[in-house]
Amino acid sequence: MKRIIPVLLALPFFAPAPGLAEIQGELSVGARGTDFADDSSAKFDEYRDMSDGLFGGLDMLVDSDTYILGVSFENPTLDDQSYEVSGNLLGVAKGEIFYDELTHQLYRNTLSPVIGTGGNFLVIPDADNPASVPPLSSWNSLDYSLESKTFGAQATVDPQTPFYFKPSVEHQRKEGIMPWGTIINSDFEVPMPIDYETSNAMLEAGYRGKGTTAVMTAGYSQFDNDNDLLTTFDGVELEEYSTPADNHSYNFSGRLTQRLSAMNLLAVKASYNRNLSEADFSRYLRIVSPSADNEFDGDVSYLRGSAILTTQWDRLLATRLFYRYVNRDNESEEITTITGGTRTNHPYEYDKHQAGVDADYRLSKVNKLSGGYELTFTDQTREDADESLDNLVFAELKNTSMEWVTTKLRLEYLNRSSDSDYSEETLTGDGIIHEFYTPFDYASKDRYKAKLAFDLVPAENLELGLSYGLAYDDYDATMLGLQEDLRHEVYIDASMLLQPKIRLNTYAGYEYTNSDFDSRRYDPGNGYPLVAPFASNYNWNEEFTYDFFAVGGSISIPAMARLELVLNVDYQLVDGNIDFVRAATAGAPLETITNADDYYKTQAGIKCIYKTTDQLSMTLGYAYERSNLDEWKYDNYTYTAGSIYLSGAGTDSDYEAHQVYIMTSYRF
Amino acid sequence: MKRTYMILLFPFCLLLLSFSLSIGAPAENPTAGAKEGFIGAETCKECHETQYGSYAESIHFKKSVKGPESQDACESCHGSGARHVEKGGGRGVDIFAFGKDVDPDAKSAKCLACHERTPGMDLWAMGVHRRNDVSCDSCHTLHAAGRQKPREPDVCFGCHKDIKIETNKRSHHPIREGKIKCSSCHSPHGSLSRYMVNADDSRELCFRCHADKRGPAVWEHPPVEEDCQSCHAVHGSSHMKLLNERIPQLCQNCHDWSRHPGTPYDKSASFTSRWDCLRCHPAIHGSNSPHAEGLRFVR
Repeated sequence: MKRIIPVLLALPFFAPAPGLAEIQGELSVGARGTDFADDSSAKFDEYRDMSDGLFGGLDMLVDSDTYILGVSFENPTLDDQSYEVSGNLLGVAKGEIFYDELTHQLYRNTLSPVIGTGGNFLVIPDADNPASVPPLSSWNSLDYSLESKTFGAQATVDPQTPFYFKPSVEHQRKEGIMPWGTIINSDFEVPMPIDYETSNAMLEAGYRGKGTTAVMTAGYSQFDNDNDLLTTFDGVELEEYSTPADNHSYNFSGRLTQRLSAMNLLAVKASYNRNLSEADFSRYLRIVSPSADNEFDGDVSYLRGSAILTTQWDRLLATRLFYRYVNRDNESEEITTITGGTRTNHPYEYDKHQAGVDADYRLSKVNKLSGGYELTFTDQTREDADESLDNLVFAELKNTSMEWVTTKLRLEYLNRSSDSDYSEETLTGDGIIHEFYTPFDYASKDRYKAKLAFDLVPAENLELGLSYGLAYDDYDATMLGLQEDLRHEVYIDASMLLQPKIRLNTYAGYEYTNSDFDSRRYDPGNGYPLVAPFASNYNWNEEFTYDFFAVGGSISIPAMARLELVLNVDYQLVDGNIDFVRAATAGAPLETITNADDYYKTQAGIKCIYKTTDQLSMTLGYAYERSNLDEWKYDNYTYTAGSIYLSGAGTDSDYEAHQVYIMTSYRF
Repeated sequence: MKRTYMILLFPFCLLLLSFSLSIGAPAENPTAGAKEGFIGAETCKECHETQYGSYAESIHFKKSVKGPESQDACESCHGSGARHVEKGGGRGVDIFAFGKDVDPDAKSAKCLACHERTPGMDLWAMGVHRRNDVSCDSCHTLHAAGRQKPREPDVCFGCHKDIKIETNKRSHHPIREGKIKCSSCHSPHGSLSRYMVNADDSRELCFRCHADKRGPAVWEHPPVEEDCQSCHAVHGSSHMKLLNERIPQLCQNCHDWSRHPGTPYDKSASFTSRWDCLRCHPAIHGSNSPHAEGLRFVR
């Protein structure tokens, strides 16, 4: 990719009529050094390459009366490099080509006795024979990470005609390893190889007539996985694990926006989307293929339709009527397994209708009232959630009676009624729990939401934002499952001009979530919950609570005529708590988890920007980051526990990093 | 099924209504008679030199663009200036100013006079932004030189303060790192899809980068097939993998069965049993295994 840089830099000089063009932009080059106190954590540089050494970029525009050409790149020597060339032939066409690398560091310096990391055939020790498992000290070190490289192009050809065209293409290659649990025979956390390629292409063609816009799109997407199968071999047995199958998808859509009259605008859209996949069963050596042709053909199509009618009745009243429809048709092959038991897959389908109306009415120059009703009906082939009907109403008031305050109040109520497809007669054995247990995502419920927000400008040099939000879900009809879900949110932000050139931006946020949940723990044959609790068979309650707090700000201070100081600090904290209750007859009291995803993160920085000239500036900066995760799962972590062999993934999210950098920027 | 028929009636009613409403007054020509009292940009420049200077550096100044400079310059957007001059000037005095107290629809109408034909703008009138009093100048700097696109995500964070905080949570998409823009997923000018996503629905949007989750898989996990947001908080989360809830709580909210699915994993649970559900059920987005254990996403 390094070879692309001179090409990009040379591009402006090949642009048409350079004599008439103005070139402007900024070139930055810097160097940095990082003291990463605990470099076993991948959280610090999760999505960025923070290597010591050079960094920088270019952002340049070549601007003439007839065209604009943009060239930009960032960090060309690093793993998060990106390049973009954009062009705009004014009034005719515009487009861009780009290349982008994204590093995703997952977990670093983990340990594994596996041989063959990076491939899809892994040799692991025989867990049934602990003596064959090498000591931890001889396990190999490995970093779980993914790297994706995406390149693509898009254009909009929009000459002075009623027609326009927007083609776009994109190709992404993703490589790396991620942790994967294998529990059959040998219980190891192993590196799953990721070798994915995704290609997307799309063409949009539009027509704009007087009061009419018609848009047609066609798209195609293909996904290829180089690893059809993950195989582990412990010296005795092979085990086989499926991976995402190759798939492809195509879609067509048509959209029409029609101005029916001065007051009415109608938009209708229909789309068809078909996803196809192919899983090759012939590659499995230990598992007998349940399919006559040794493969599974996945075939799911979606038919979607939507219509919105917007009416501006007069200057005061506007309404919107809308309808949406989705049908998921699943023609995937049904197979009945032979290995491991007899089980048949049930292709999942659904129909969803959504209709509603909302209105905005200006009560006066300073008051606007909005309200609406929305109905959603879902019918799906899910035994635990067959049909559901949502009724949602909302009202919103916006007030600007005081010039310096804008107040918004929104109230929302949702009622969901749903039922399952289980018949009591067929619920036997452990399945009897379904008569009492309801999954939260389709459970009948009442939800109340409220939001109050103020935007204040009490003085010319001060802007304030305050908002409070409440959401409460009451699963009143649920006996076992989620009972209540409560959330409070408070956000505050301020922007102050302390002196003519000193601006302070600050914010704070607080989120509180509390959920109440009932469930049943039982041994086979004891699913019926309406019996007195006894050892290993009891109902229990769980209440999980999280407090999230964030605060931060930045300030820029012109210290001298050519020297500017910029300071920033961000801090966030989460305190999670999970309380459990069960009857005394079921056993000893359950113990509260006081560190459920607890973490804090501090980020701070200071930089001095000295403008040597109007074009040239030097920046000297220091950045500090620290993060700590305290999660019960990782307390007293061991790599080997009985017949389980873990790799350490997720155990070390803590880091502390200091970074010093110097950068020079030339603006031209 | 009665309910289904009732719901199906709705689109037909909508269509019927739209036809009846279409017998309305024809659209007025907003520019009719608009050129009375035009004074020319040179007059404006005498008092508004700074604004004129920034306008002269912007794309709107280019004559090759069918924009203000190829029409009536300053007065293309601000309206005729004669009475403004006669009254000695002043902010908003008989002139159209893009101030905070000006009706957002009126401000946007000025831009739409030319940009209504821009691809995608046909949905502006029914979009969430417009209905929430966002106008073009809320995001676009009209007089600026250089790149014209709003600076993301800062411009979006100006209003979406909760999202700003979410994107800095422990688990997040690389939005702050500059690898994903808000407009990578959303159409700020309007969309017929919920949350203004620029795809038919949020799942189709996610598949653009996460096509490995698209399937169709042999063994499907229904919430995955319906909405990624059943389990994931897309902008950021305090829990790993952008999850809405900690594991095992997230999974137990839907699953109870004998032995481990219904077991309370409190602080007294042994190390081996406290491990999260994904440790043994890694193929949670759908399994393609021909083995019966594929049903449980184990293989």
